[in-house]
Amino acid sequence: MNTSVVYHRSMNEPRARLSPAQTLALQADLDALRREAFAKLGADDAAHIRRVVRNARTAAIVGRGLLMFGWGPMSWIAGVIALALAKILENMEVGHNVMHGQYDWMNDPGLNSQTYDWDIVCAAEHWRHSHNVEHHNHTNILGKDHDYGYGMLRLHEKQRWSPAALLQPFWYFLLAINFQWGVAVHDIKIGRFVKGRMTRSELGTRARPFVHKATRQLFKDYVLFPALAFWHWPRVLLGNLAANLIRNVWTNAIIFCGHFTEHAHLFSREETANESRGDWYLRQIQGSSNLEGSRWFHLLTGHLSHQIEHHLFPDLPAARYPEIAPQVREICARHGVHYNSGGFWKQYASVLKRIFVHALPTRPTKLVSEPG
Amino acid sequence: MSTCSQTATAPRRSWLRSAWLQPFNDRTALNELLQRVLPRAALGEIRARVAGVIEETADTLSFELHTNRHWPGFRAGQHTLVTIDVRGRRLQRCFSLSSAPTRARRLTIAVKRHTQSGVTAWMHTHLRVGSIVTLSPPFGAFRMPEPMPKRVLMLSAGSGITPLMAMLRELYAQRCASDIVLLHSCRQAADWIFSKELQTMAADWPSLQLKLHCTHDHGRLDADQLRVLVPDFAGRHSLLCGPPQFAEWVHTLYQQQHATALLHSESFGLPRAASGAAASGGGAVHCAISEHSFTAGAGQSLLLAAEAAGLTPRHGCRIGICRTCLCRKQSGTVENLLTGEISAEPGQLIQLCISTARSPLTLDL
Repeated sequence: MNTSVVYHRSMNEPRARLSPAQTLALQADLDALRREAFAKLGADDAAHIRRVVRNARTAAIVGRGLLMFGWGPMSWIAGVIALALAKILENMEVGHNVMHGQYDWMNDPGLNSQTYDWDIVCAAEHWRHSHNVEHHNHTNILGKDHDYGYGMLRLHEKQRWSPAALLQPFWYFLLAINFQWGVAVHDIKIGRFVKGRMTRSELGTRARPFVHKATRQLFKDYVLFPALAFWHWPRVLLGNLAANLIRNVWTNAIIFCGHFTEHAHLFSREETANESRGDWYLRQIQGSSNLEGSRWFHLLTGHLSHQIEHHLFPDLPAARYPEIAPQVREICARHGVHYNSGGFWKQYASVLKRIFVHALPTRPTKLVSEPG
Repeated sequence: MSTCSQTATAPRRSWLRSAWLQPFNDRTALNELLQRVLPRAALGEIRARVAGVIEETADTLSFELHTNRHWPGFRAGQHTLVTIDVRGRRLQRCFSLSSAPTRARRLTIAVKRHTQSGVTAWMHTHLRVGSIVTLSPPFGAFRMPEPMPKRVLMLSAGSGITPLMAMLRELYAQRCASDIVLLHSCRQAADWIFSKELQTMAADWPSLQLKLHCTHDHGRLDADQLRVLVPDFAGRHSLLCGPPQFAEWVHTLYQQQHATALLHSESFGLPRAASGAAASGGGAVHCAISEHSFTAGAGQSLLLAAEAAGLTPRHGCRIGICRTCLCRKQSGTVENLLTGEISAEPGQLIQLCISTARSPLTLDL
């Protein structure tokens, strides 16, 4: 195959560049796969998402029940685990996927992308904009994908270094344990206000959905449920805090493995200016990375372990990703495109490495072309 | 009963629906929990259990439904929207109620199988005794005139007999003394829905006369045949229900006889004009919420067409990824520009940025 590979000298990132004809062929293969996958949707997919919704609800009832009415540390731990499980399933497999419109074809008002709201402080309308519009459209384009480093982490040498980056391992730790808050304020774009590019009143308008949602969530987890437990209130309050913490750390780890692993590529505005649909597909593959694991692991990641498939077909019900993954991998191999996949610890370690390495300033090196 | 419960719940809604009570007032979740134990139960939703399936003809089944307490009762001639999940997709179909409205929370719908793979075929193969369906409150203005006139003609074709059957069952139960003629048109005698029950009814009830017109033997019912079957049709109070072509034709006939004042009608299905326009593409788009109208060009995305007309629908990526522009289509046919998929179902959600009109449309915009 006549693909040239460009090596980034410092990071050793192989990245295939395809000719327009090759891109068109890749696009045709992926479009065909998409049609094939969508044609299979039916009663099984509906049953799957309803089952997960039901299980998440059961876990929430069991978890909150154990925290409220249980005695002793064991029931507290079990309650925290059940509630964290409920939040993880609801946020990852149900909320995220439903809000992508993966189940809009079911025409069920309870699973509609435009009206669904999730058990997290992030307002659904903010998420639909920052995630579905900005991140999925402009995946890994420096300056356009605000999810790349979340405006506070330097993960690539092309990003500007500042002295604050020296402390970024610590910033990252803070973000990981408070991840739902990071996600929640993301679309307000406070950075623009700080730089004086947004007025105070505009900031107020933009922040309103977040303030509403966050207040309700705080009320639910830290006032309403503890109050219902009477003298058991500290147990419930701490339990809810712990469950939110577990969910935060888990979702953060999974989401950071999606685009910041060793071989996940970063793109510039210039090189993505006149993209075709095939170019867009190629960027989604090269900007994303997969995690390998068991069926349970995939479910708990909301199938974000199949980040490549998710970014190619964000509106395909996520439970279908494991099924199409071998075909995507085969298409990538046929077109000479690297399919970035690995175990959780290997991929996560490479993310942490980036956070540490790019805390220090680097002098940008020139790209050197080598024959593939 | 319905007005009672509505006035009782209306003032409570304000605080019971408050977001501060989440998740305790999440109706979807509460219904789901409730239905794990009682499949027919629901808060504010009419659900019914299939209690019996009766084979009427080779392609028509009657489903006997027992509803929960939210069913407000109905009047003969009205219909209900039945919501079912077909291969994971939630669909609604309108069916006339065919039972007499005398029994509370019990009703019957007759379902004729139209194609081998459609919704009606699915209902025939999947709805069994014990299945659960969701119903809308009954609606429709097609009713028996009050008081019942002395001479009545009921004109029906195909499955159009169902609302008339509800009326006949009610009238029969009251032993109504009016002179009633039922003229039914169908392909052949074996396709006559409710024929056995009607014949038993007519044998026991002298007011009712049955006339059958088989299109297989005599072609489409025309003016001369109608005069032979019911010589005094123009002087009778007429109730008409059937497919659009049949209804249109009867209307023309009554216009010629200057008897339209006596004609009450109900029709179902897509008018011919609408299905014919689907082939050419493009069409007039009516926005049901903003009450705007615009014309969409053939192959033009609805988002662009709406914006060209000065509307500002919500949108995001504009290339079919983010679904910000998702909009409910009340009626009409659209084509997905990316996949070529056709959506003709009423009530489906479509992405405006990648959908193009294939017929006149009504959108929730």
